[in-house]
Amino acid sequence: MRVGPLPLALAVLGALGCASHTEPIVLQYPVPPARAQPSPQPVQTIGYTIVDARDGSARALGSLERKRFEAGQLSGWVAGALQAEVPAGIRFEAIAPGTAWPGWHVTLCMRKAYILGLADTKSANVVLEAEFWQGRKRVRTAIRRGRSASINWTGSDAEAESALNSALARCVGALMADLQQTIAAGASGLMSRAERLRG
Amino acid sequence: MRLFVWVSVITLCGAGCATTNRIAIGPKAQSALGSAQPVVGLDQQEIAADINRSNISAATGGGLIFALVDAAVDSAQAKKAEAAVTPVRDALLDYNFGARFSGDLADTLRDIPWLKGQKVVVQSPASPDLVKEWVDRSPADGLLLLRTRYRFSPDFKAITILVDATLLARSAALAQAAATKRDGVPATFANSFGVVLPLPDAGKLGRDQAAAKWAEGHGAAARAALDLGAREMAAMIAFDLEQPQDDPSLTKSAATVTAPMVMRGELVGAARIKAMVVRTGEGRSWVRAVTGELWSVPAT
Repeated sequence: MRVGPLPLALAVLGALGCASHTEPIVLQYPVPPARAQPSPQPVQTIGYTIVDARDGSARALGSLERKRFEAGQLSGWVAGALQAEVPAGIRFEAIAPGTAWPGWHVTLCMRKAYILGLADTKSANVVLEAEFWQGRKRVRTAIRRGRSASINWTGSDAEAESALNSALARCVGALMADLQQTIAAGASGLMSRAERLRG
Repeated sequence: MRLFVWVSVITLCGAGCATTNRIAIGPKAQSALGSAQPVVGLDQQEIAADINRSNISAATGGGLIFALVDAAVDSAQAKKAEAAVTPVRDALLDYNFGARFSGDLADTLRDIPWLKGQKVVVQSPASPDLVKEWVDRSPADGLLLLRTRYRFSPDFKAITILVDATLLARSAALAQAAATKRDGVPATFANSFGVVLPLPDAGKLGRDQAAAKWAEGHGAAARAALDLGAREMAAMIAFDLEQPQDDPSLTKSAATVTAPMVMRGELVGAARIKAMVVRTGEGRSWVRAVTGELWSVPAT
């Protein structure tokens, strides 16, 4: 059986009284550099609402080695990703739940967000459920998972945050594609209806 | 009785952590125990995967290069395992294992007088630094902490549920009767439990095919296995809490079984261990290792 220096050190630490502990972390999605050129397209404003609906304790974020992570509400973290990953031609505006919004808007529901260790690898998962609305009509729902798996070097807070940010970026990226498709389909649907009326 | 057993054993945790040895509730503790709060400590939000670790460095006599090769191989395997488990996780998105297990526990623990009427609470995260706080806050004499993990085997042909159970003392009278300490708190009961749930008709399926089979039909096979596992686990814990230190069931029968060794939730090897058959029925056997751990495995 192979025992590397790091597992051996951890085993010794464990034997000295279970060095496991809980680490509160504040997740922040990195702000991307400003776009060099503003989008030439007209900007469409999309409203959004974020709901944190994770199972069980809403604070647990999983564990790496013997360190367990927890964080409070993750709505701000998701909002940061939404603003950072916004497609060209779209601007997001936060709206309070239940607020009437005349145009396109999206409700994002946080289903899962966690990190876990497997051998020398850390794996982060983020699952968001999205409802795309046009006014009072729900046009589409989608559930997307973002994953990130990479070598676990030190199990630090920064590593955990980086892995969770990567998973969130993939999840939000997939939802942005869904949003653009939904809006495009909605627009073409409106056009074909107008064409039918004209015909 | 011939048993082919997929038993995992929690061992080698070191002093101060969960031990393999069973500690039964002694007569002194029993008289001091008026009530206990059951708590399921569950760190996982979804089912975990597992891998067989690379062993090149051991085979070649060690060294940094081979250790790095092992790390690279393990990492590649872990990434594949994480990819394979994703369809099952997606299929089980609305399945709450913690709720299912706590519901089954509420049913089975109902008959134990000192657990009567206590609501089963699910807590996450469940690290030792929080346990002391839970014990202090508990309204009961003690806290029955059930640290729970569930995961696929590396080949995805079985799901294993593991629980480390400890009865931690809050009241002074119960603390005085404690035989040991867990998480820095006097403990009057400790044991580890496992349930092994094979994929039906797994045959020669590869890892990805087995994962797909668990996932198909909205995760029907995985849901059925986890439901059964939660039931079996709850029943075993309720049974074991009332057994004396010298369990008469130990003398019923014995078999030598092959046991993958699990250390802190990770597979580290396999061994032949001697285990006693405690109960058989409905296609499953309960076997007890000589060190006291109790397992539910398919009877063959």
